[in-house]
Amino acid sequence: MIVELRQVGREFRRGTTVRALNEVDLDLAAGDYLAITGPSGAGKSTMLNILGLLDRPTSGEYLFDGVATSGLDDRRRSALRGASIGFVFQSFHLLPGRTVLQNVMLAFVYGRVPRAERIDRATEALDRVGLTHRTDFHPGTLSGGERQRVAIARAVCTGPRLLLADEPTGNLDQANAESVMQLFDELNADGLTLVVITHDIAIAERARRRVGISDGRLTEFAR
Amino acid sequence: MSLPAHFDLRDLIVESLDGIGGRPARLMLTVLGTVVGVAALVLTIGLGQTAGGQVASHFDTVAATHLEIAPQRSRGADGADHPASSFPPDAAARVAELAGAEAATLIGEVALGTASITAVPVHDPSQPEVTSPSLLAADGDLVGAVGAHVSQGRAFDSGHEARADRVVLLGAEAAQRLGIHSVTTQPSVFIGTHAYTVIGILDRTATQSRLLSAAIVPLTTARQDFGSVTADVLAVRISMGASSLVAHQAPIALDSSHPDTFVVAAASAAGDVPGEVQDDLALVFLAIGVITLLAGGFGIANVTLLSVSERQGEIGLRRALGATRRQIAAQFVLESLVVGLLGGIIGAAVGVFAVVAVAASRGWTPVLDLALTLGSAVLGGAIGLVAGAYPAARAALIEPTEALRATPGS
Ligand SMILES: Nc1ncnc2c1ncn2[C@@H]1O[C@H](COP(=O)(O)OP(=O)(O)OP(=O)(O)O)[C@@H](O)[C@H]1O
Ligand SMILES: [Mg+2]
Repeated sequence: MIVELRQVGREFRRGTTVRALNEVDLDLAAGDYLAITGPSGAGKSTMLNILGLLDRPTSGEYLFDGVATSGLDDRRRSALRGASIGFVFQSFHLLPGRTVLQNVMLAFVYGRVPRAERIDRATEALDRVGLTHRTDFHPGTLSGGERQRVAIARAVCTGPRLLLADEPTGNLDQANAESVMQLFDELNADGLTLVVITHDIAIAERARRRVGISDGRLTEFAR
Repeated sequence: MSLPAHFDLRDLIVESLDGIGGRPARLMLTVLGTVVGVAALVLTIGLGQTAGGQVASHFDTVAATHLEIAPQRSRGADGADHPASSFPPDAAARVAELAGAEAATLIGEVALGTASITAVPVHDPSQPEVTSPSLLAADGDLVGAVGAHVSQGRAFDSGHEARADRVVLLGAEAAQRLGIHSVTTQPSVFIGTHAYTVIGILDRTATQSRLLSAAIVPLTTARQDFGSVTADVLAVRISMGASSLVAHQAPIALDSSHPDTFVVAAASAAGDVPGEVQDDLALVFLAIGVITLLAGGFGIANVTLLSVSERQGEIGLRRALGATRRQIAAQFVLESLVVGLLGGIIGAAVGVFAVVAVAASRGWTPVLDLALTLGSAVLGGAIGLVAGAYPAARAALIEPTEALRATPGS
């Protein structure tokens, strides 16, 4: 199992206590493709942050690749994140002052990739998302769909075991959303484990597994 | 599972420099405080050293062109020092004739006993008691031999000496103490019971600074009015390069059978008043330097703090890509260190330029310690390092989930 959530809970205390996640159990095997749906404020992003080691559960245990993560310090969690987990955000998070190629190569700074391999691997990743002709462009000159594909190239160029996407098509039109989802299908077909948050049922239907979150509780839909 | 990430130093530098280069206009404003502060420091140090070099070379020049000859002193039977010889009466003339000697004068102190030097003939008890100037006697070319400057009137000459006239030269300090500001009306001073005519005032000397606080009368007059006077020094001005020649020949000219009873030494220059003025100015510059440096440090801290909050999205992204809290902190610390160092280097360059310009305008030779100059540049870096510590800690403590939510990237 790549991901095992055991009775994971996450509470936020800010005056009143919010239970963003409540006794969540989930297993993800290598090659799984999971879609998460649910109303706003249900706890979807909270769950993704925990899966990505950006946040810690307040109760329960999260095992990544068989390793209990609650005992890991910032260094180890960061190292694991850099080497094994890729992120795609709704708002792309590209650095405006750098070229497409440089944006992709930022992933290597923290992912311990030898300098000699960096350009080749970044170019390869851009080739995979179909943006070889845009390597020297700045993000501001790209369409939304192209930007998201740069972000995907950045997320996968280090060869992660798990790709997490929070509303990856939220800022895209129909055609661009389709090209991004097409890319996800291909990545999953190559064996990458995927978790995608979406409120779009049509997009969720493309995943092999679907879970819904409501008030911090998870329910899996049978297929 | 991979090893915990180590920050590649080259990556760290590249990422930090990229952060700085992103906003050149802001960078200029940020470094300004450090530039001004370091420039002021370098200017202060440089002007101090340049002026110091100037004073030193003045001392060297005085020492190379003025000699002082005194009788050898030996311990007598009573345990006190006694001169082992005395000057012949025509000592000044004998030495002045030597090749390389330009002027010579014998100077001796005159013991006044209970008598004093006053500007009024009778003692007025209602007048505040003023300490009397000391009385010196001299012959030969006093003004030439000690490099004196007569600000008013004139010095006494061989005629005054031959006739043992009651004329007196006043050192500027002595003149002030006696309340004499002008010699045009030929004022008199009373030395003991004798009235002397003031014929001139000395306001500067190259050597023998005691002249400035004394009344000076011709040696012949002193001997006539006050009995025996022992000259304690023969001051000689020599031409440049004649020092060893005159030093060798003068004792022989004074006493050919016992030349070793005289000691010859290079004269030391009279103390420099401008040095004190310089010190005050240096203090002001130093204060300006320190204050602007502190302000510069606060400036860097503020801008780095602003940059941290503006770049929250970037911080979140870097964390998602695997950056540790330390790596985030290191990036911002290095950024402000480089900004400080940049300010330090520019400031040191500006400071050096200013020192050279000021020195050139005064015709001085600029003197500047390289290590101190480089140290000032490094000081800028240190300021940046300290200023970056707090913003960097703030950046490191931001939760990645918050940071990612804060600002949508492009
Ligand atoms: N840092 C936080 N501090 C306090 N409360 C938080 C924090 N993050 C999330 N929450 C709360 O936890 C709950 C779940 O939030 P979460 O962001 O996971 O929802 P979501 O399902 O992703 O919603 P959306 O579809 O709007 O993105 C919400 O009630 C939210 O207000
Ligand atoms: Mg969300």
